Amino acid sequence: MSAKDLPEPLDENERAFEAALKNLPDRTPRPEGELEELERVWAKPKGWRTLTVVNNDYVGSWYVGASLMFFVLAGILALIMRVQLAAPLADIVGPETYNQLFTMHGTIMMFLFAVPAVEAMGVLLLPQMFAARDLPFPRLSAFAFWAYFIGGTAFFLSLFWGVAPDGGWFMNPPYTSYIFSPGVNADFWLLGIGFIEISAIAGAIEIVVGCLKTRAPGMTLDKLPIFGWAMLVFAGMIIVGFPAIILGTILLELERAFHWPFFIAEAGGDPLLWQHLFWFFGHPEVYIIFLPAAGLVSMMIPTIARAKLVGYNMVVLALVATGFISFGVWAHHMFTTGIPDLSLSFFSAASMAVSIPAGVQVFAWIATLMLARKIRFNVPTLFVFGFLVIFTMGGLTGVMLGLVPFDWQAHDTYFIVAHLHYVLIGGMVFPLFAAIYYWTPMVSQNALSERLGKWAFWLMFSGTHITFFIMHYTGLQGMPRRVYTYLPAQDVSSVNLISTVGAFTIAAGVAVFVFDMLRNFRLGGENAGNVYDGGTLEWLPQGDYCARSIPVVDSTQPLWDRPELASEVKAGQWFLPGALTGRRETIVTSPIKAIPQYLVIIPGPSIWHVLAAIGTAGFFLSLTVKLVWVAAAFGILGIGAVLRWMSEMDKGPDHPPVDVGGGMMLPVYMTGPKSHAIWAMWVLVIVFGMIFACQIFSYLFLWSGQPDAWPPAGTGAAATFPAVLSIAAYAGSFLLMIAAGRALSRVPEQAPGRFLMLLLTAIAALLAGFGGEFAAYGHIDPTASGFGATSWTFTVLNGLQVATLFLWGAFLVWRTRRGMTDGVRRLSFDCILVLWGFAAAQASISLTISAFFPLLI
Amino acid sequence: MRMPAKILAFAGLLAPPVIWAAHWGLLYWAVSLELTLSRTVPVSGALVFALTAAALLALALVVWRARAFSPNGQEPGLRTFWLQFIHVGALIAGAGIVYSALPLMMVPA
Amino acid sequence: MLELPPILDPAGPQAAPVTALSWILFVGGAVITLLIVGLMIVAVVGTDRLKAALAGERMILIGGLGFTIVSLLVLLIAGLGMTASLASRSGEEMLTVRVTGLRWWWRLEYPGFEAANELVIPAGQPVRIELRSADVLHSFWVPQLAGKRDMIPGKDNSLIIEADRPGVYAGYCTEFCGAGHALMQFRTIALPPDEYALWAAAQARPAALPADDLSQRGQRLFDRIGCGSCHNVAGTRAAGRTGPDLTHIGSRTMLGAGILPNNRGTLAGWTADPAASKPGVLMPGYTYLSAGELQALAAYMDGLE
Repeated sequence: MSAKDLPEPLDENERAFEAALKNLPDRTPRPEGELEELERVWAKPKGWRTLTVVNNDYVGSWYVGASLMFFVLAGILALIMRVQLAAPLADIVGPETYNQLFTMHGTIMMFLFAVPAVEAMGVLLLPQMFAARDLPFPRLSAFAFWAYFIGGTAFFLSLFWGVAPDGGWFMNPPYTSYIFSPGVNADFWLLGIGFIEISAIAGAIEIVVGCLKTRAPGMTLDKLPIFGWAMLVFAGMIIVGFPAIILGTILLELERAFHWPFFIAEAGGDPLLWQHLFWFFGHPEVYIIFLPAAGLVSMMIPTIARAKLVGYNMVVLALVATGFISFGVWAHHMFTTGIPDLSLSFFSAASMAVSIPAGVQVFAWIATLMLARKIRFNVPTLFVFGFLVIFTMGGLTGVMLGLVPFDWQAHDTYFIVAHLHYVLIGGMVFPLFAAIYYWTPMVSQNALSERLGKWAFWLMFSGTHITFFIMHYTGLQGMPRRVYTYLPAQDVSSVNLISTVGAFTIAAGVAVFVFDMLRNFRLGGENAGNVYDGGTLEWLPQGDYCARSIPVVDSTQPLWDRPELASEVKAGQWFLPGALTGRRETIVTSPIKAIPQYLVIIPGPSIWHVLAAIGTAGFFLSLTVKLVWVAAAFGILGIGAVLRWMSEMDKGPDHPPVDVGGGMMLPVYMTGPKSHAIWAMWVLVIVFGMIFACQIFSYLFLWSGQPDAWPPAGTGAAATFPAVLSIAAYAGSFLLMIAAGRALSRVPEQAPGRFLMLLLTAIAALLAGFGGEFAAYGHIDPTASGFGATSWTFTVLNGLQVATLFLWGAFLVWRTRRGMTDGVRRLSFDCILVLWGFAAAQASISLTISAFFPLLI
Repeated sequence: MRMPAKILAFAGLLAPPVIWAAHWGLLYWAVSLELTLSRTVPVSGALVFALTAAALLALALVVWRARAFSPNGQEPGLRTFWLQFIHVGALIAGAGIVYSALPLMMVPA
Repeated sequence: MLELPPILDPAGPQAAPVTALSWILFVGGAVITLLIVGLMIVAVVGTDRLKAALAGERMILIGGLGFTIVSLLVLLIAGLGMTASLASRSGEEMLTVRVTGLRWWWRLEYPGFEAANELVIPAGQPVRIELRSADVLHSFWVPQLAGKRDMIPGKDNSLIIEADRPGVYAGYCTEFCGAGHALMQFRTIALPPDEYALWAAAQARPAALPADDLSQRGQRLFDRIGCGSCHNVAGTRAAGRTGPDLTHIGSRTMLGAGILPNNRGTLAGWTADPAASKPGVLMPGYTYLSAGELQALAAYMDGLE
């Protein structure tokens, strides 16, 4: 970001905003037909075209629904396991099936239920909490949903062919590599994770931009609903954490498909590399799940207590601090791997530190509850109280496991199984159920049943303790986890039977809940409204367009502090009371003070993102089962649909500034640092940068295991001369793109020929740079050693960037020739320029490392 | 070039956890690399002490200059938010830094 | 069921301190849980004065920050101190046994001889276990003697165990390693030092000669059907290294990596169809052998004391 983006103490926008505030709420009658126009613009297609809907309340509800479907499915798998474990040496399922069951249970619960569920709550709730019309990239979240839903379903179905993954949800090699798992089972895991990686990153981009740029005017950062903060931290953690598992899955698949030995010790790989990559993602993953749930709790507790959250500022700090510290605890999953004690101790220290913010939150909630005059025990309250008890217990066993000597005993036993279920059920499932009961009236015609909900709660609460409390003992008794059976002599028969009884108790509670949902949850139409008397903006009267007008906010609980707000908003007396441009639009505000900056046009229903999702899902699925031609067809479908989808974007400033209310004139669409698309691009570049950083870590990690064999005898380092030439070509292509950018700013006054020539030369230079890498690495065999494999991985990563830039560049040529890109309408160019710069930097750094690092040491 | 106010504001907000992360990361990576490569205890007590003192000093500095980071505007709530966030953040980061320094004093390699 | 579980019933100096720590943690955890539940109850039924005293940001500063930071610091110091003291004996000279994890059994290499699946150690002396893996990840754990440590291909891990009294201590593989993971167990038997010396001397000797006709028939069969291509019986032509060393199989109390009592019946049953006792096992079954042949084989192996 540059200096020209600097907000002056009172800049133009702020003055205009202050002036507009004097005129709001605007009580003059609204013009005839304004509401009808708004309804028409935001209407959801009907019939089969419902699939093309992008409105966040629908997509969010589907998303939550799909995640609950996976929750139930994975729960059923758990019941089968509990039946098998009810008695020693039972013979319900054999080890092959059992290993698939526990792998699928863990993987689905973590990746297809928990992460998507909290992300779905973000899609569903955030725009409403901000009184924004929708998320900034509604098609992107719809795409993420479809990719996840199709991919996740296919992943689950692999169980019925007996080809489901069976290596545990953390898939430790060497067991999961091609030698010990030659079937496609492990590939299905990598596939399923691939989808969740794509949809999580897409969601993270959406959420960062949504939370920072589309809040209600006046909703300064100290009034951002806590759930917004939680989702912001969630998104940040996905951006930093997921790249490690993305790289990990790439490496494991390269090893499985092409025998590049990253994790094979005899060939200079190291199984621990996987564990580092996995847990650098995997532990933050737990907080990625927990923080949004904690955010939901912080939203519900004020309603329960009918008092504002005590220590708002500290709760926000706790979320942010957890996000940071959670990246320093990953090796507490590796305390028993024989890493030096001293190294382990740092992780123990950070594991203690990460508990401090948890303590802050628990006490903030309790302090808030103390303000309640009388607590009404409705279903959300019950689930929140249940959460507090179960999560506290899980957190305390977590502190125990953070101490190295205790973990040496408890690690990989049922004590861990107990701990992680307390944390995840307490920390995520109970808040989610509370939230579903609490927010259902916002999207459904009926609220859920209080009577059934109480049954569901008590069954689930008691079931959780019956199942998992005794498991602490089972672990102390010495029962390892991930065992399909046990011997009578292990003395764990009765405790296992108790756990099985408990599991069915939980299942009964979930069944009651599902029945309640089926009976009462009805999407669309008039919603049930603010039955719990919440004070935040999502309880404003809703239509397909979210709130009728966008209020100015000056409190964390605006509906409590200004009771007339709902009727004013509904009467269209605040900002943006209609569809001013005749299209879907929302107000973009500044990140700290939420001052309106411009009006952004938002895309509406479309089939293209759905087809793109089908193409993506079909492509990876067909590749997994090695149907290359089918995969190619799906790939073409996917890429074609994405290009078609993108061609509708970047329409340029085709509308004069509009009066959004109170006389505040806002431009429509904007390029430069204020554009929300550029924000998204930078987020994506951070993701790529983290993937690259993880790859550098992998390179150095393998080197540190064999510093004397780098490169191994008989192999050379990357050739320096071609490497230097390649770096020059990459750098040159970026400079050409900068020149192209200058040329573009003179279009359409000048013909676009010069721009096109520079662009095409830049593409050529890019390809030349990539070709140069093959000259540099040509003599290295990636299958022969960890050195070769990790060196070539740089080229793989660069190749992915080059392919993206090549496609995008060709697309830009097409757009320019159609007159769709010029000096003003240049967002697609500005975005590619950011990525181009990153790709050139990544390629140069990687070539420098592989050509010169081996010479240095 | 003056740092844009918006960036400065976020930098101040995130400074305490970033300082914690830098301290933790420097100690951990220095120790791990040395342990893997030479199998000796590398980081002298003086260095640990210096790093820890520097991190705590940096925290104190951020707390002392907290007002300079908070956004200047008419919203008192926003300012309080910034100040309290930085103060309590520094407290947690400080505790975390002390925690991280303990291993090198207590655990042999 | 109400006797103490192994982690809380330690039998050696590498495990006992952790037990003490565990008790402190459990009691502390229970107290804090009760505290939180108590506060929740106050929020529901407490008097207004009591509630007002417990509300406000002071509660967060005292409970959430002050109490947490101090108690975690104390725990961390205790944990780090214990980590350091448990590792402090690693420099001493002691008996060293190399234990290699394989799917799904344990190869035990003592100085001078090899055994499998039943770790015999002298009581009252520390023993260094060198941990290796021949295939996938495994983890070595005897809860009453020490915490666990992983066996990782390409990594040289080790662990010290010590039993302060003679006895039999159960052990497990705790890192998921595939189909046989659940049934990859073993026993650690601590003997008084003089008995251990006798045992070690016996183990170092070549296999006993078959004593009777049945056993002799068993040995010929053992030879003919190719048992020796996977199993070693020192002093005979059987010199395989793929499966467990059988030189003194008759002296072991358990069979199949800690899952079956060892006697002629189980030996015969295991040989005929090992997958029946241990699904997924890599040893092929010999169901084509007649009952008599199996008895002969079992008699031979039973005699290998």
